Amino acid sequence: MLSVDMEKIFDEAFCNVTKKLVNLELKKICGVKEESFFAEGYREAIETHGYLNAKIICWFSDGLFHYITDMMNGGTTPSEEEISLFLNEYINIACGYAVSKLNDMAGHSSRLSIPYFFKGLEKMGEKWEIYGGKSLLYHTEVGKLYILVKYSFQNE
Amino acid sequence: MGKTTLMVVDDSPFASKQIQDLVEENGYEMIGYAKNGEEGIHMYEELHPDIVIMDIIMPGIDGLETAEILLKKDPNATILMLSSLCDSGTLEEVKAIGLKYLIPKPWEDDVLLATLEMLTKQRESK
Repeated sequence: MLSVDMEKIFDEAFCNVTKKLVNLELKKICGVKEESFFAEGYREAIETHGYLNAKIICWFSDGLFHYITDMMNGGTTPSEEEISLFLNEYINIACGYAVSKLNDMAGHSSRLSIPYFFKGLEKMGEKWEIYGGKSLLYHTEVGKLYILVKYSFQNE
Repeated sequence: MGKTTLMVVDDSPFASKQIQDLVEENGYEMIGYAKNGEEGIHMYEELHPDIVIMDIIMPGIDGLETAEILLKKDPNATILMLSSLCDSGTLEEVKAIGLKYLIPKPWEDDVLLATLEMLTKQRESK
């Protein structure tokens, strides 16, 4: 079995990619889970399949969501039709960064799915029920980000 | 000699806008942007760009399969793969379909430009 620190890999991925893409520093908060945060904002999810089977769900507060999508669109708010595509690309790049590292460490291959975007209280469907797993919570100048990574390795 | 023409196949408007700004500032001409593999195949047949920049993870047929189809139709097609998944296994898959280069997302501008310059020179020397 591969011995990896999943929390560290995803932490490094999201911090580096957020800095590079939108010039924002993610500051990790330990041991805090604010239930009210999950009732609003925006959610984005992606799966990995192969050696690593994972469901990664990100919650963005309203301010952070708009900051990321505006910055990725060159400083202006994207159209309603395009806005989710910017967040899709953000999570795709951050999770791709983490999964590439894991693939190279394990010498096995895992692939990413197309990301899914959910607004407000829209249901994510049964398969996206909240699982336990590694969780990361960040504070930024413009809002908060919560990341949940539920995973297992093939043949475990 | 005219400008080298480029086409981007990527479902992300972020990637296409970033690439367009970068390449046009550096003497290339972006002549097409396709949002998925199917659109990319039709657009390639219509526009015949010098170089295609292709994302891997896309809805519908992915970038690897799209590149394989393009190479069957035009063995001289010049394709540069771009992906957030940039591990050695993915690079092997890129090489297996006859391509040489895979640029990670987020890309470094100088790396992308240097690779495009190399591909341009390879095309010109054919």
